[in-house]
Amino acid sequence: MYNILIVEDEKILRDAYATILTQEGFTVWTAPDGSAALEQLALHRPNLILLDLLMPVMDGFAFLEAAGFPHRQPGVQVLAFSNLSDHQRLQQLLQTGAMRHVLKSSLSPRELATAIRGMLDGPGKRARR
Amino acid sequence: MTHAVRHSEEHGHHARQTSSSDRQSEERYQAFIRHSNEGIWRCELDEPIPVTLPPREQIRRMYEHAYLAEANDAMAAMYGMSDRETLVGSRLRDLFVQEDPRNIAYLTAFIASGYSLSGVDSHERDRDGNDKYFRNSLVGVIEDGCVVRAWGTQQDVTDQHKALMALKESEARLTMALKASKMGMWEWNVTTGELLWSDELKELFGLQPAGTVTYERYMQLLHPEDEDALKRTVAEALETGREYTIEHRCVWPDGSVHWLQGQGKAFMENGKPVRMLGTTMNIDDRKNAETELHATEAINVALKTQQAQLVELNNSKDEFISLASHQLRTPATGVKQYIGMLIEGYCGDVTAAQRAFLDVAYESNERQLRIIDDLLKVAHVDAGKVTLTKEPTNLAALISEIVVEQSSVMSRREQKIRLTCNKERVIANIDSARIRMVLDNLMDNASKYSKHGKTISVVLEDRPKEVVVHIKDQGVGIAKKDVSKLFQKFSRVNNELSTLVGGTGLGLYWAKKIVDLHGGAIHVESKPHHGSDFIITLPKA
Repeated sequence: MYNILIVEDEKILRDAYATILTQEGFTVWTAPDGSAALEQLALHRPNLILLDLLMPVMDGFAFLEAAGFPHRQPGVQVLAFSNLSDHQRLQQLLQTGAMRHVLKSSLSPRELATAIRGMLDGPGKRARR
Repeated sequence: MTHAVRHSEEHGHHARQTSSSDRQSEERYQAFIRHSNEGIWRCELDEPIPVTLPPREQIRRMYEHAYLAEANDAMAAMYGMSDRETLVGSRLRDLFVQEDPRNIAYLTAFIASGYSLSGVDSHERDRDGNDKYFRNSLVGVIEDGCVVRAWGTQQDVTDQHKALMALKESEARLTMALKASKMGMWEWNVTTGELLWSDELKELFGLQPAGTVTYERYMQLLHPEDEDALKRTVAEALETGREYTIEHRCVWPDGSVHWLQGQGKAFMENGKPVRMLGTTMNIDDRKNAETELHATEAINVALKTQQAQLVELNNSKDEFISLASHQLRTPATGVKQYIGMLIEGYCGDVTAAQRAFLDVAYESNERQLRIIDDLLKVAHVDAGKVTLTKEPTNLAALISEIVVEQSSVMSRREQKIRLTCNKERVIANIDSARIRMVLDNLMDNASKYSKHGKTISVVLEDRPKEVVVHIKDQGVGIAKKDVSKLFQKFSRVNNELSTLVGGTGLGLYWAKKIVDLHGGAIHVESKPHHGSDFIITLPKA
């Protein structure tokens, strides 16, 4: 079974994702910002991080840099989850192939689960950007 | 001398019989003549001129018959000649400037005076043609009712004359300048209180040229608000003798107000002012221009402020939309996830009736999210924050991918989508993510504005320097009057399907912005009830 770290500052969304992914059979840890996520990363080794990019304290970009993605975290996939689509930094990260990105509001619970499962079951595949 | 000398012929020539005393007298006379600084001359006439002839005729005959019979060296020098021999024999008409009316006046006066005149100037020319002015004293000799000769002396007054002429000229110029500049002059005798105004000055105060102006009258004409300042200035000038300049208003007898600029200076004697002179000119035009200029400047400042405010307002509007959209999206996404969990069975089964309501809620939330998305995208592009990430992209592959995705959505409306492209590779340098969104948007529109069962056709044309994409539908079409509104922000076109579609009026605006950023173009050809053809042209490079 796969482990997932959910990093999301909005409690209602964090709870929703946790509920959905737990019911889908994943082991789930949560963190409200990048710095809390770093602490979780020291304790656990997730297969995938569902990462909000815009957060207070430490945002998703700073977290990725601090955690040394992708080189120091081999085998940990990242699904960035945000409302950004026109962000230059995001485009650069996507170019490196270090992560995939979906618009936060575009997926229903089932579609989210399907997307995550797709990434974990087929690591060679690249979700369409 | 007051009358002509009448004497016998022998007095005018050397005496036939000379005594020793006569000879001595003659020698003294000759010596006097020779050494005199004045020109001394004798003029003879070829023909005597009857004194009864009209003056004009006499003058004509003088010019015709008069010549210099005798002259001294001093006189020759006045004509630029080295000795009297050269001058003697010259005709009057050659020496006089005949066309100068002053010479006619001189000769007329000579005749009218009974042929004895002194202190009258003639205008003549020297041997080089230079103008010369001589002051003459002369007396005519009358014999048998005819003028036969004249004696005279002359002084060279050319320099004085020229100086006088120059003075007159400069006075004339000053008068002209004063008139041209509409400048008035005044002179105030401080001791007697006498005030002299030029006609121009009276005009400047709206007065008739006739009549004198007293100090009291002058005070009445001043604008009440400027009276004190003017009085202070004049008092100071009287004390210091310094020149002053002041701008003030006056009130004409007709009640109109005019701007004047006055300059003046007091002249002192023994430390006390005795006289004051000044000039005044009208400066209404300048003052009016200044007023207009100030008004224009004020308008410019106001416009600049307004512009800055508008720019600020626009920026804060963009910022607001961006912020509000972000803020709105989070709760809306929450609603989507929780309703989604209910619909998708994460909380157990729901009844068909509950499910139907949840579907409506979910769809409504989806629409809200689309609006928020569009607002965000537009705010972003309007703020100039969109930077394209261009890379060579196979448009044929990209479009066929979009068409496949769209076909599943369209099949729900029993619509078909067909792609026509005669090449497998059509490469263009584009931001594929954004062009995908543009094409998605256009295909989505084509489907939504077409009824069930219709076909959407997408055509990709590969041209040497550009690619052209047609998205063609068999839908409701767009009226000609609405075509220009299509790509404007928040524009909605009314037709039979628009209420059902419920767009934001932002999609096409954003699409055009993105195509423009690529250096491409988007336009539409449409016919109501027959369908529309949206055509995008993108440069390959």
